[in-house]
Amino acid sequence: MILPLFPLSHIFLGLAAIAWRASARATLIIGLIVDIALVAIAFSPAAHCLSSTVAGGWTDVIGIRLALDSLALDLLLLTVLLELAVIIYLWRQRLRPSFVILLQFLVGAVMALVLSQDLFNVYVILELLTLVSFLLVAYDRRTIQIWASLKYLILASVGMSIFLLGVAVTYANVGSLGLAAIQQAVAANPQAGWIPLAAALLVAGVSVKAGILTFSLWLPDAHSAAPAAISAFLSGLVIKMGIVVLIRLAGVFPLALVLQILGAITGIGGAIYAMSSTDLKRMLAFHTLSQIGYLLIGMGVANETAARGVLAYALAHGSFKALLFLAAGAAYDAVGSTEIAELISSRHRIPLRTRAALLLGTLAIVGLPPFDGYIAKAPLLDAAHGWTNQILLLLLGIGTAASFAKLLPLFKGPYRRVGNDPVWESYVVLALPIVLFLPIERALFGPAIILPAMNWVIALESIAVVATGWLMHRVYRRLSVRPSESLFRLEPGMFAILLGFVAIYLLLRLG
Amino acid sequence: MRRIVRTTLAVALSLAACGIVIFNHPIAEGGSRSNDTIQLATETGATNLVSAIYLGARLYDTLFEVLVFTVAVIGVRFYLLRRPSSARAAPIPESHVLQASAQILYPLTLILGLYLALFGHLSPGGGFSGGVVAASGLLLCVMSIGVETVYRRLSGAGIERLEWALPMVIVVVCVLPVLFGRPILSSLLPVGRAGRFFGSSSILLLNVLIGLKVLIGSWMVLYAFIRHRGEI
Amino acid sequence: MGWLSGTTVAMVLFAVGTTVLIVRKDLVIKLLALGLVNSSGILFLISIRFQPQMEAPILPAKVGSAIADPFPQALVLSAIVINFAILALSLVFVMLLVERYHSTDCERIEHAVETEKAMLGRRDRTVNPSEGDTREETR
Repeated sequence: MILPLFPLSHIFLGLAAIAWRASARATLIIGLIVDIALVAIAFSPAAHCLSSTVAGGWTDVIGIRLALDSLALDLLLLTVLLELAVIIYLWRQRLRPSFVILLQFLVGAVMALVLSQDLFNVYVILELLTLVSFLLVAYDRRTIQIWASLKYLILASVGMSIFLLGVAVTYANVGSLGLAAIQQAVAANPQAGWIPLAAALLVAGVSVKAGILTFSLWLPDAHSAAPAAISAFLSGLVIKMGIVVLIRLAGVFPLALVLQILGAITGIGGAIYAMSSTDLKRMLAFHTLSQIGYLLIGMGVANETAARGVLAYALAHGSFKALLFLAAGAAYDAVGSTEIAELISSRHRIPLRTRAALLLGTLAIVGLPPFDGYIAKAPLLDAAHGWTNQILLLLLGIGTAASFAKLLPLFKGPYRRVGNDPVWESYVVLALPIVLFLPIERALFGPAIILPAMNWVIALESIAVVATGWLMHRVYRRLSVRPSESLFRLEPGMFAILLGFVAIYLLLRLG
Repeated sequence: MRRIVRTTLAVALSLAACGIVIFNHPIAEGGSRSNDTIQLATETGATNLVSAIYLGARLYDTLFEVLVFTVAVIGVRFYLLRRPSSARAAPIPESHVLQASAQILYPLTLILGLYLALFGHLSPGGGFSGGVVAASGLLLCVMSIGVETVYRRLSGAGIERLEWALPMVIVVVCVLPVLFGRPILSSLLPVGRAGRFFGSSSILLLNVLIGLKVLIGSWMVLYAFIRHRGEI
Repeated sequence: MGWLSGTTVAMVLFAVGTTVLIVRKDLVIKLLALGLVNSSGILFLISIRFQPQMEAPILPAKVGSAIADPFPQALVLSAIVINFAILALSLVFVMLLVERYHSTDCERIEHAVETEKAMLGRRDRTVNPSEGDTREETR
């Protein structure tokens, strides 16, 4: 009954803030408190009053169904965490009312999307997310940001058009847009001709927003050009929204093979570009693509352990990616550049706590035990049967470690204390789940989720992967191979979307 | 040479995508559910079934769509209103024929917009189309009086605060039924006989609110574009 | 004339739109093509459940004739507003870029942006250097 309140409270708050010129900080604090209260209710045993409802009490055929499943709980928790960290990060800056309202709308839309079980509702909320993140990326109004945003908007809007075509085809053949009804229709007649078409349209459409390499060629530019707090939100949370929609679609259509292939391309492509990138924020953006590859392979494997792994990894990735982006923002403020070579040569100017945060984020993202990157990757490594999946995951791990080896010189001496770091509390907020992931996951989702992490074999495997990666970095540096950066312009982006749609359709038709 | 290759590839890909959809999708599906439609009309009291759907069963979607509109207005104003105004740009050419005919047309257009919004539950129309028609009426008014005059008269009326207050009122109307024990996003007002003006639960109220919101938002966007039209 | 239905026309328009979006260099024409792509999606959505002899979904209907399905038409209302928002915002951004680079050519703008990015220190210029308050922007 009160499920729609999750997004509606944020929307109301944002509008109230701008209507009454309320203090920006007060609005953010109130929003955070309301969120914590709602999420606490969601996790408590009294959650039966939050069970699946149809908005307005209409029937399922016409109405919109909202449901709170484990994926939704996971992402609501991540939302609250990131909200807290970003509020602390922005606390001392002067915030305009338009910034606050856009941020509130962003959080509200994210919450609405994870609760939604209806295809057209998903479309409208995805478009809202596109517009709000497009406005926030270009908030400083620099030329680079404006061009990156414009590219993002054009490509995302073409993708959503394709998604709308998929919604139309689905409705024409099923008569309703609720996920349960579509699932029944697909199960009743799995060989029907409309199924590969609708699935290909929907998947191609949402992949543009989900961070899959061949479709999301806007991602490196947009995420690296945005202000640091917005990059943290985008990479940590908004990308997951596309993945959430893909998970919902995977529960309805037979998408296992497609997801695995897309995951392989994204993971390896992202890793290769990350290894040859010299700019910190751009490298982090490429890594977002690569980590999405992990999630997709996990979704493609489609058994219990892998599903749990996807949940854990979504939460873990959000925390360490946000930490890295916030720390990179602070480093930029101190040094004046995000080029890695410059950061290393001026590392005495970066505050100690920022360097510590970067170190912690690096250790987490490469998957060293006992941090949360390892604990979340362990179920995926455990569940991946078959040679191809195993090799893929190992290669991804090696690629991640190899590209982060570039940052190692950043953590050597000198260790002078430089000034005071105004945002270190936000690092602490994000560092807590990184360090304490084991008990947190166990408390929230039961002991089964952490069982693979306790396996000695997998732990040794992860350490070996990291070591191999760091060694490989030395080899790679000698090679000086630079993949082409002109892939990330507007026209290749359009080409890739159309080509990807045709390819997915053929895969679904023949597979 | 590269250009020809790229063009051919683009055409080929687009036709492939288009062909895939055409050949897999049956040409003209039939079907509307007659008993469902009668039931919709009696449950909401609106004879325009499209209104019954997007302001009744799918109110949650419409809420987000109003938000999309609000975000568009915020974006246009934030990015345009901080630049120097176009006092140096070429003035818009004034034509006497245009000015005279706009003076006659703008009251009619405004009334037409009002009618569309008010009677949206009984005949084609609704909040969105009514608001847009009324906004074009305002544009005709600008053509006859001049943009700064209209801006001065409208901005004194607290129009900015109204613009933000309207979506809040819409959200409150959606949430209010919870306090009375009804499911959220349903309607609080009574449902009369289908086809009467006042018998349409909250659809009439929502149409008027949305129409006002679209009118004010479109006016803000139009004013921003006129005032800051820039130069090449 | 069975082939000339709304869905077919919509897909042909979609193909034209995507081709122009890729091929033409002018940013404004790209935006027009984007609008065409979006509109073709809307046309597709309303013609999936429509046959030429159906009536509009307003009661009371003519006796003995079928009513078109009102559901896709309700969805289309949302889609139209979204397209309006996308068009307005992208026009604003094109305007800002044109003011900065004095050209609507997509390739020139891309080349200029990449050159600026490659400059050392990545201290790129803001769109309006005369505006004082861009210094204090949020990050």
